[in-house]
Amino acid sequence: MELVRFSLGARALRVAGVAFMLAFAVLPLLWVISIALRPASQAIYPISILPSSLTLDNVWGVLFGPTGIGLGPYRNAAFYGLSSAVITAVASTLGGYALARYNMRAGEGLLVVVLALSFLPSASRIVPLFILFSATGLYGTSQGVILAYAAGSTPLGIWLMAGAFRQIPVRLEQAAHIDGAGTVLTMRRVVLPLALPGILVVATLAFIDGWNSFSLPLILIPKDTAQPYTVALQRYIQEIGYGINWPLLAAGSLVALLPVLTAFAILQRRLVRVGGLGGAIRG
Amino acid sequence: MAHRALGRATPWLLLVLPLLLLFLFLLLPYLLTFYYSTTGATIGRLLNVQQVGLKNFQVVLSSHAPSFLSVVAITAVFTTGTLVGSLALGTGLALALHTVSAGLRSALLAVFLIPWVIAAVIIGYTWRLIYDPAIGLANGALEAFGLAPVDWLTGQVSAIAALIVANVWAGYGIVLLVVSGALANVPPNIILAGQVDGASYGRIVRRVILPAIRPTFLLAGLVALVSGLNTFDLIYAMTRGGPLYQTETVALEMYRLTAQKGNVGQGAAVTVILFTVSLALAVAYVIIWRREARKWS
Repeated sequence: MELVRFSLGARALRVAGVAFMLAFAVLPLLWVISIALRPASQAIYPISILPSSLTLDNVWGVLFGPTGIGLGPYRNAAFYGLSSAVITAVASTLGGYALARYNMRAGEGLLVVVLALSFLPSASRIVPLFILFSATGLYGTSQGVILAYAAGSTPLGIWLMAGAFRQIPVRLEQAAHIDGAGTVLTMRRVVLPLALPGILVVATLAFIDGWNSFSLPLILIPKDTAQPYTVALQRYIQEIGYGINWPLLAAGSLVALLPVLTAFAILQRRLVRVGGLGGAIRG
Repeated sequence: MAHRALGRATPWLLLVLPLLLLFLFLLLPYLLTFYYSTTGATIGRLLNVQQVGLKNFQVVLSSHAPSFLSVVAITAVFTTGTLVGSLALGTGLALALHTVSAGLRSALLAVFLIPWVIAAVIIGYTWRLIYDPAIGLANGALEAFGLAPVDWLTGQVSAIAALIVANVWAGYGIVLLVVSGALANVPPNIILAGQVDGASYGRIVRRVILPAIRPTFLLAGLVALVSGLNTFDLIYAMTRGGPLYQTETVALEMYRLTAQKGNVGQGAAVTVILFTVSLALAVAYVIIWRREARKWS
């Protein structure tokens, strides 16, 4: 028996609804691509939906041209994101293992606090981090931003890693011990290889968080040359004002999309599963 | 004996690094903010600050241009719109995909989730390219139907509506994902029972399916609520709170007072207000989450 029986009309309605939503989901991105890859002469009123010719001039222009933001901001974002991913992965693995394997009286409570922390969004951290960094001399340093990113990504990471470690049978560790393996060897040969998929997901999520971050570097990094592309693009728009070169901005956005979409495509299956698990946690 | 003492300390040794990270860069900044909200600190003067009691809160709450009331009202409209929009689209889509084959569903889910991984500022630029009066897709479409172009981001009503649509685009995917997961766990029997009783599909959704996924629905709603309240990047990229503060939300006000006006004390006061509301929602979230987790385990 079918779970839900729809009439023909209801079926058609459903197909139409899903098709509309697909258009809603994809059209904005296709529009960015369409603007980014057309010659600047075709990005004027009246606009044609599809360009008559394609060009990579805008992508080249935003990265290397005299009016573009250059390669540096993307390099900065990658550096901050990757560093934060490494720190988050290490901290989450340590924390997740401790909370999953040891029956601490405080463990349960800690996990709940971590859950609540992961729920707090980054906007409310702008001013607090600005105050802390200004008072301690971390203001404007890359170490400061990286640690701020990592602290934001670690709660969800600990939560996910605790879940990942719980799925690895303790008996595997005990068996390795009986075979004479020490703690370090057991970790390196048994536990970490099994936990690696989880660690990769945590690191990828942290990288995406860092790569996408805007409000924190906006207020924490005053120096132009150290800012990530998110802030650099914003500054570009502000300086240009009304004569914004839209194809250049679209190309800059397109370049920014490539790493996250690639990471998403590779880890999509796992991320979707994690999202189902942790999605309700992360805003 | 020494070994056993170390054994009991092992989890804490493992936790030193993560807890230090969370304390220094997540918890401590908030504590400092509570302190600074009662001081007259400015960007140029963060040490040896003067205590002013609750004066910052008074000033913020009674401020003009923009009045705090209008900022709160704009935030409320924006947040409610985001909440209702993403819950409706996410849940509707999850229901539509409920009976689709698993392979097709996960492929569609992946497409619908793409906005979830995109930076909020880039989403802001994407929608600016759509709302732009001259070269935007929105006006291009209007024109194709012979309608007059609209200057989307300059009038207050259309600007807030435009921001809501963009934010719903950014957020409905996660609702879809979470609700889809919950739907997969609804026992098919209770749905079939409804059918046998002759209930219409709409009635089954209202009376059987939605009550069964209520906790998930509630959690997804809380997440959408908190992220709506705290939306900063998207609004900053699209309107910067303008024109003339007409799209200024609490999150933007907090930034403007601190970074642009340099009044750290007042910025901290607004942060305390926003943080307290968010924290209350977070606590509600954890309470509901734990109650449900206990029910299922």
